Amino acid sequence: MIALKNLSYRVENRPLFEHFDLQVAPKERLVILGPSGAGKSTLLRLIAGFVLPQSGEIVLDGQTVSQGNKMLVEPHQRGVGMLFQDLALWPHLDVGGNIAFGLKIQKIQWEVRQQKVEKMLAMVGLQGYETRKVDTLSGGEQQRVALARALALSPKIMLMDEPLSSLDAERNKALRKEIIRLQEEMGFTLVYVTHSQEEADEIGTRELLLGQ
Amino acid sequence: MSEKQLSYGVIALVALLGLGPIAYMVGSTFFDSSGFTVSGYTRLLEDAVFWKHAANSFVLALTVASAAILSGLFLALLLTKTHLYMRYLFLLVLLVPLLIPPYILAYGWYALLGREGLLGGLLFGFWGSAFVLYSVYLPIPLFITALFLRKVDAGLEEAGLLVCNWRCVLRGITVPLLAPSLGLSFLLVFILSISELSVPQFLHYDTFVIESFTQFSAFYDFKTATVYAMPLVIIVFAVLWGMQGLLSKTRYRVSSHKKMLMITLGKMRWMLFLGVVLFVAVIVGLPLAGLVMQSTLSSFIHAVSEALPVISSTLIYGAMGATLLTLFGFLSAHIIVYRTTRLWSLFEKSVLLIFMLSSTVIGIGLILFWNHPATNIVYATAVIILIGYLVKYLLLTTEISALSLRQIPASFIESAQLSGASWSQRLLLIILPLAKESLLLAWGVGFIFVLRESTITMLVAPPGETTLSVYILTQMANGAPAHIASLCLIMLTLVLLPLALLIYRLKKGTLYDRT
Repeated sequence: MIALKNLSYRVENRPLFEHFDLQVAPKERLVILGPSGAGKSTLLRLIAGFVLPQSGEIVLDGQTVSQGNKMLVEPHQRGVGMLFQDLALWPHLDVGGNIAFGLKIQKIQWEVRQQKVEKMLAMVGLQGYETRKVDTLSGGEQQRVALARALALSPKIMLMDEPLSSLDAERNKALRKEIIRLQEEMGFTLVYVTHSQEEADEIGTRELLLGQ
Repeated sequence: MSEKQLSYGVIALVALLGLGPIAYMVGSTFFDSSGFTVSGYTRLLEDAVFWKHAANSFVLALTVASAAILSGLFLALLLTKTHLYMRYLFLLVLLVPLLIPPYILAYGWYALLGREGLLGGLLFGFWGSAFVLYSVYLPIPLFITALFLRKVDAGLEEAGLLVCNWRCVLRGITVPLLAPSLGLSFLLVFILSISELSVPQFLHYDTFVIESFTQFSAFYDFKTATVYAMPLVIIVFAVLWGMQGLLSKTRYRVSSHKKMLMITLGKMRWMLFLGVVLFVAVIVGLPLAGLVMQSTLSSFIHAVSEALPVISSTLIYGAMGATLLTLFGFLSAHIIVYRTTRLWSLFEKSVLLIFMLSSTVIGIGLILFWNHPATNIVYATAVIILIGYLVKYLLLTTEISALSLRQIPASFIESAQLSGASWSQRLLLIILPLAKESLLLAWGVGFIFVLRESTITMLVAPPGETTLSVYILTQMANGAPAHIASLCLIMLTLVLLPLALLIYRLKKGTLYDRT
């Protein structure tokens, strides 16, 4: 479960969140909508731990991860995966290298790592892509690699920051279904940021409108 | 070691090696055996020779900066904003004088004009010094203005073109938008010209930097030498203050949303092309031709064989200096770009301050600071030369690395963070591989600037240690002309070879190629 309690966050003295409360149930798919500058991406970054609020508490899976501006749990220990808007695929690593990065950091054995990479690629429909350079892939394929990388560490919470905004309508639709299938299969809690009402209606089990 | 600890370690080291000697030097001018005193400054202010030299220095720096700004602006517009033939080649060739030791150009002109006649007479003294320094520092306004030109919002010019022609748009919109870059260039050229030692020294034009150097090297009068160097420190602080203001103004005056608008030259194209060819030939071609003319094949071979040990040690110093500069430049850029400590801004300004201080000031500071029995391990060895190179040119490699680090999206690093990568793993596995091309560039630039450096080496080098740059300067006092010209050509080759390699890499399109 995700719980944001009495959260306040200011950017250059402009309040973005004031006494903000939010609860997301386990395995829920919460979609956050709102105009630019409403704080949608910031909300994800607060949950991930990339930024700290000025006050308030963030609780993930029963554990308080930040209290006021104190970081109690580092981002990589929060059990959070994230799909970035620009995908953030590392260009100096191939597809396999991108997916295996976190596993390598956790010193997981090579054979186990390879199996996991193959499993993740199969899951997103990209078998045999391990050695491909990420910049040779299409937009949709890159999206799938980023998804596979984010899921490789089996996060309990998945944050997605407008991940489909750069895709054409057809690919966008196909990947929406893919995300729902993966979420149901792996059982993670999803917080999904988008501008599109259509995306929100299809993916979300609940919608939150920010900036109103 | 945590990221913070490493950052504070780097900051402390740069403060010790760079700011420590300067602070010690400034402090030492206020004390003598009897205690606190300002007698050094009183003597300085009463010294008519100082005022004459100070006036000479100011007039020289003002002339060079003004001429460089005016022609730099014109050339930047011509070589960046038009489709002039071979414009990139011209930009490249015009960069050469900045990369080679300035005295090589001065000697090239001397080889061509001699000391007699109208032009030879003009060369020795104010006009010659001003002209040589102008050609050395012209690339600064040229490249800074070219860079800013690319950032001018094309929409602003398009709006202007709806009501008048290009000439009026340039005068009324583009050039006023470039004002901060022109001001910045002016200050930079001014400070570099006023601090330059070798050119006015060779061309016999008295400036207070020469006086400070002479007091130190000829009379071993540290006190007077240090006091003479103090006006430069004050000028640097004033210039830094001015630059700060100008840089803050650029933020709201320029932006880059659309592609740069190009000016069509029409019938003027050929005439301007020939004009630039002539200009480049005079500024770069003639002095280098003078060196080639004065050198002979036998003198060149003789110079190579005689200077071989010095060439070897120069290359070793170059490689060591460049490696140190690359390493510390990368770490410094990491501190500045990712703001790893609260001191990042102060650190950034300190690196800039040390770069802007003249080599004479840095050299004297290093000697005063390290010349003690307890620190002989530094002062009496080649380490002191490397420290000099490191503090003087750290800004260059820091800025190159910072440029590259700023291009790495934050999400790349955050993504690694979520994967559990520690700061050192993020640095080594994500940031370093993505920045490796810029590190190569930083190494190349560091190597070139270490090779061209002479003043710090001359001041701090322990007995038996020398570099080609210093060797040439020594030979210039009493060596055979053909020998000196050959040595200058060797130096030219050493500097231009890594430059050519870097350009080759750039041409392959690998540098700053980011997805």
